[in-house]
Amino acid sequence: MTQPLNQKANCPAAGALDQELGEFWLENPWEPTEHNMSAYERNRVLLNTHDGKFADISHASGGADLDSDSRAVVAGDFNEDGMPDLLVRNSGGGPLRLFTNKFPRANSVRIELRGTKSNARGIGARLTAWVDGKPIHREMQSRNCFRGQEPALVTFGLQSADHIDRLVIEWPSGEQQEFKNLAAGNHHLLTEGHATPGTTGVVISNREVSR
Amino acid sequence: MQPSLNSHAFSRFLVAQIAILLFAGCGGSPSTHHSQVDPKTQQSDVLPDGQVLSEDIRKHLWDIEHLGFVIEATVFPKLKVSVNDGSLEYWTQLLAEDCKASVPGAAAADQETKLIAKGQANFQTTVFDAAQLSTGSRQQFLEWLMTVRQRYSECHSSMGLVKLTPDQQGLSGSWTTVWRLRVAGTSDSDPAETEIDLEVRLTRLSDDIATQQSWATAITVVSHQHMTAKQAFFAEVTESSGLVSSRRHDNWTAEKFIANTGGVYVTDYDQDGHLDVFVDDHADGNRLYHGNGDGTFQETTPESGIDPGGTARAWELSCWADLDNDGDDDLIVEDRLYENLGNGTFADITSTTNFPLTPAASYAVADYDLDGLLDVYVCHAGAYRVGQQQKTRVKWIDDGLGIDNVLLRNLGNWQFEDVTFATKTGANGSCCFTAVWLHANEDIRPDLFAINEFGVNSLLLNSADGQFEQKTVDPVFGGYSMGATTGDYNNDGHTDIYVANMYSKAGNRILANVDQARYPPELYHKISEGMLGSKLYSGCPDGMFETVPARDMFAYVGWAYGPTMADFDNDGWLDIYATAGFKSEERGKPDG
Repeated sequence: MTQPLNQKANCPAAGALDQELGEFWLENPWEPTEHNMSAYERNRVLLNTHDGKFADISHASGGADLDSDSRAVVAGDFNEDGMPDLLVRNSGGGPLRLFTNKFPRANSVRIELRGTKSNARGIGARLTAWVDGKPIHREMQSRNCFRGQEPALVTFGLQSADHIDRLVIEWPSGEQQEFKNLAAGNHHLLTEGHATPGTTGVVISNREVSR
Repeated sequence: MQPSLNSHAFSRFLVAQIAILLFAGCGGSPSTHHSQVDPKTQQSDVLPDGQVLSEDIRKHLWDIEHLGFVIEATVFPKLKVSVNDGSLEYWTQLLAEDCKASVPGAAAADQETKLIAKGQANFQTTVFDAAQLSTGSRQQFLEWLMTVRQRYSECHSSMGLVKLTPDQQGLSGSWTTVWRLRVAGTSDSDPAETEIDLEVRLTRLSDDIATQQSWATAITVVSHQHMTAKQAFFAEVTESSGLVSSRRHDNWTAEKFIANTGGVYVTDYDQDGHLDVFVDDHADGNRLYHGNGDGTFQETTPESGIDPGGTARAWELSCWADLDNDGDDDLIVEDRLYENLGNGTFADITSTTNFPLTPAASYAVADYDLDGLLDVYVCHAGAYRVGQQQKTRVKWIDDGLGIDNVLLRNLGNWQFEDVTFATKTGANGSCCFTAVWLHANEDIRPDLFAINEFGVNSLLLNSADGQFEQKTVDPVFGGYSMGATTGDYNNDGHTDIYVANMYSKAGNRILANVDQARYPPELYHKISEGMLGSKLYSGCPDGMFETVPARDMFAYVGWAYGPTMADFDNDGWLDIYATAGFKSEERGKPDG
C-alpha cells in the first residue's frame, strides 16, 4: 500500500455496526481489509471545450472509462493514424489495456528533437507552433504521471490545417530555431542547428475519414 | 502548525480524523439519547486520548453517517430501479404530494449546448440560480425527471449522497441532503449520460425510512449536466495488441492485494519511429514490447538483454532516460541500469555506475543545469533515503519526519552526484509519488513540481544561482496528491499543472457537520482540502498559478492516480484522461 503503514492510524469505532446492512469500519485505514475502498471508480475522459473548461465524455469513450483501480496512463499514437491512443495500467480488472482512438480524424504533426548543444532528446525544449495564425505551446518532456512514462515527443493537433506555418523551438541551450511549413501527417526529426527538417520515415495518417 | 507541538498527539488525531473523513461505509446504530456538545464551548485542542473531537461529537458524526448509510443502502437502490424502469414509482412514494419542488423552468431552457469533437458530441452543464427555477409540487418534479428519463431508450443509474446535515442538533428532526443522480445509457442508440445534483429536504430519518411515505418535503434541482454523442471515441484493442500477459498481477483475481502492481513506460527504444512499451509487474517481472506501428506489439525481452526478473521482485519501478546522451533511451529497472546499445539490445552496466538504485517512488528526467546531460530527480514516498538504506517514517501532514527527494546531477560516464542539498530540491521530506519537470516561468531553466501525498505540493523554481526556490501553487493546501501532469490546456502560453488528488463524498458529508472552530485553522484547511479532489492550476506569468474552479475540470474523479493531458481530437487543445480507484472487492457492496 502506498500509505504510511508503519504509523499508528487507529480510530476506534464510535458505535455499533449494523451487520445486516453490511456496515463496516476501517479502524486503521492503512491496513486494507476485504472491504471496498474507493471501489469501481471510473476513469474519466475530459474533452477541452476551448473556454477554460472541459466536457465529461467518459460514457462515450467506448469503455475507456474503465473502473479497474487504474494507476497510470500513457497517451501515444501506437497505430500511427495521427490520433493519440490510451494505454492504461491497472492494479485490477485487466492490468494493461489499450484503447485506440476513434475520434473523427483530424490532422496532426509529430515532432522529435535531436539536441547537439542541448541534451540529445531535446528534453526541456519549448515549442511554439503557429497554425492558422494561432500559437500552440508545448514542452518536450518525458513525463511520469505516477507509474506511467510518456515518450519524449510533441504532437500538435492541427484540426483541418495541413501544415504548421511556423515552428519556433527554444532549445535548452538557449538557441532559438525556426522551421517553416511542416506538413501534417509526418513525424519530423528536428536537429539543433540544422536548418533542414529530417524525418524518421514514419508517415502518420492524416486522412480525414468521413462518417 | 509547529512541528514541535506534540507531533505524536497531532499524528494520532489527524489520522483519526482522516480515517473518519476519507472512509465511508462506516457508521453505527443511532443513539438518540446523547446530546452534542455546544460548539461554542469546544476547544480546538487535542484531547487526552489523542482525538481532536470529543467522544460525544464523534458519536454524533457516527450516528449521522449511519443514517447516510441507511439512505445509500435502502433508499437509493429503490430510487435507481424506479428511474431505470421508467416508473419513478419510488420517487412518488417518498416525495410528499405537496412537497416544494424547484425545477428548471422556461428560463433555463436556453442552457448553452457545446458542440464538441467535430459535432459528434453535445455537452451542457448548468448550476441553476433561483431565477432559472420554477416552483411547483411533486407533480412538477416528477414531470421534469420524466423528461430526463425519456431521453433514454435504455439506462442504468447510480446515486451518491453528497450532503447529509441535520437541521437541528439532534437527529430526530428534519434534514438537508444533496443527492447526486447519474443516468447513463443510450439515447437513439447513441451513448448519453446525465448527472443531476438534487437538494432534498427530509422531515425525518430512521432505520426503516425506506418503507415510509412522504418524508421528503422539498426538492430542488441544483445542477444538471448532460452529454450525448453520436459515436464512441475509443475502442479497446487489448486482446489483439500482443501486450497481454497471463501472469501479470491482477488484484481482482489474485489472492494478495498489491497497491501498486507496476508501471508502463513508453519510448521508441530502437528509433524506428514506432512507439515501444516496457512493463514491469509485481508478478510478471519485466517485459519489453517492440511496437509494430499498427497498434500491435512483439515481445522482445529475451533478445533485448533485459533481465525479465524472477518471481521475487525487488520493487516495481522503471524509467527510460538517455543518460549517456547518445540519442537513445537507456533504462532503469528496479536495481539495474541498462545501456541502450542502439541495436535493439541493452547491456547491464549496474556495476559501472554509481547511480543509487534504491527503492524509490518514481524518477523524473531533465537537464536541470543545462549542461547537455540529463539529470534525474528521484521521488521518495517513504521507504529509504538514497544511500542510507534505512527505514524511516514517512511524512504525515507536514510532521517533518519524511525523507527527502534526491536530485542526481549527471557527471557523464554513468557517474552521478547527489546535489539535493546544494540545489535545495529535497522538497522537505514529503511523501512524493511523482514529480514533473516543466517551465513554470519565462526562463529556459526547467522547474519542478513535486507532489506530496499528505502535505503541500512543492513548486521548485530553478534559479540562475543553481538553487531552487520552493513555492506553492495552491493558496490553501492542495489536497492529498497521488499523480500529476502538465500542459498548456488553455493555450495562453503558460504551462498548467493538473494534480490527481483524493475525492471523498463521505469526507465532504462529514466535514459539513463539524464546526470549523473545533480545529486549529491550518489543520481544518488540510483536512477539508484532502477530500475535494483533483486540481488544475492555470499557469500565469512569473511562476504564479491560479486554481481552476472544480466544476470546470471535474475535480471529483475519486481516489485519483496518474493522469495525462493529450489532444485526443487533434483540435489543438489539450484534453485530460484521469484515472481513479483504489481497491475494488465486490460490486454493489458498501464502499469505504
